[in-house]
Amino acid sequence: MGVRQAGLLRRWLVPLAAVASLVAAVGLAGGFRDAEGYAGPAVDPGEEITLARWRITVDEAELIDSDAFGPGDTRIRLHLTVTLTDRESTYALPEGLVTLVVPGGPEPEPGFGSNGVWSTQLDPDITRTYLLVRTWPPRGDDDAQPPIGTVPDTVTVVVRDEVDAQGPLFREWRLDDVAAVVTLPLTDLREEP
Amino acid sequence: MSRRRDWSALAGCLAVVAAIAVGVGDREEGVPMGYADVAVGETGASSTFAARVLDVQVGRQVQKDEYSEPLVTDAMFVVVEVAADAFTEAVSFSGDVWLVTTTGHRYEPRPETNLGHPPFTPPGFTGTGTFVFQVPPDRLDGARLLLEPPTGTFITYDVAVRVDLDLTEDTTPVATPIELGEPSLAVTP
Repeated sequence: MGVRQAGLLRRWLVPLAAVASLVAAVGLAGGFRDAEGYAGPAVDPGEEITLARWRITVDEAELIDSDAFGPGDTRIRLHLTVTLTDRESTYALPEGLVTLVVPGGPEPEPGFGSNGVWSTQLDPDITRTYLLVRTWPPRGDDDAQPPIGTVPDTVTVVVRDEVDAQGPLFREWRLDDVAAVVTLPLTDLREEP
Repeated sequence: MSRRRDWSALAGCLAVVAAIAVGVGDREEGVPMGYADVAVGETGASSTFAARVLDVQVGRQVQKDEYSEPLVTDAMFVVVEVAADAFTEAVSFSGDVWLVTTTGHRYEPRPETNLGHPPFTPPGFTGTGTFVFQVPPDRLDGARLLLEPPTGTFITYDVAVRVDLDLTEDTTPVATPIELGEPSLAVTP
């Protein structure tokens, strides 16, 4: 090996070793595994799903275009029965714990729980009905809701569990693996289909 | 000279990191908290306020106002009227009020009735209002109201006011909807 080749090798050896270490670390952390889909244990509608700090039953899904406040966007309304089994009241169901999926359709808009006279706050060991209402199809860039081509027969509800983890500063509940996948019929309750 | 400056800078940075770590520590684990344990009608004091429970009622219906239907629950509402005198700082009680059961569960006031909460109370004033909690009936026995002082940036010793609400499983619920009074603010006598 000549002096020039040895110099080149020394010059590139450290960066290459650094890149290799980085790739190995990412791989060991699971960075190259397949992206997670919605795969998980199938659960029937009406069947209770027990999580780390919740008990959730997915009851019904409805397509609506009006509510107690009058006509509005087309939305999918999900009826859940929820019990918080933790020790302290919490503001609402955590974002991402229950996700609504429309097979073959666009994703519904994100939104909040909506429960008529009740706020979203959940108290320990108080079982209650909890409604998730999501605008579907989502509005376009012009803020107008596109028409629905075909109403899907079913929708899928993905329920994730949580894990009590130590963050950089606080202990916190973080979303974990999919605990249940519930497929249920979508009842069309629109007044003006 | 330069080396001493470097070490001083490093020590300064470490001190800042340590101060932040101490300051943001979890309150439940980090803040030394004492309790002023009082009964209904008695006054308990923290460093920033003195509070007393004026009245306690339990029932399954709460009437927020004359315009809406009563809130109805299969569990039990605990309706607590509180008066608080602010000392040197304003008192808001946002996020610092709990109903604590003997099982260790902590219930926040129901947001549906937050218009009845004691108002933002400046020093020298007394705020009066009502908190409504929703609790399983079998957890009424021994339940206490906890009024915590506001969390400071850094850990300091303070006192929370803890009021025994004198509830048992046999406490008779009010049969009719419990009407919530209007919150009020007045100069502390």
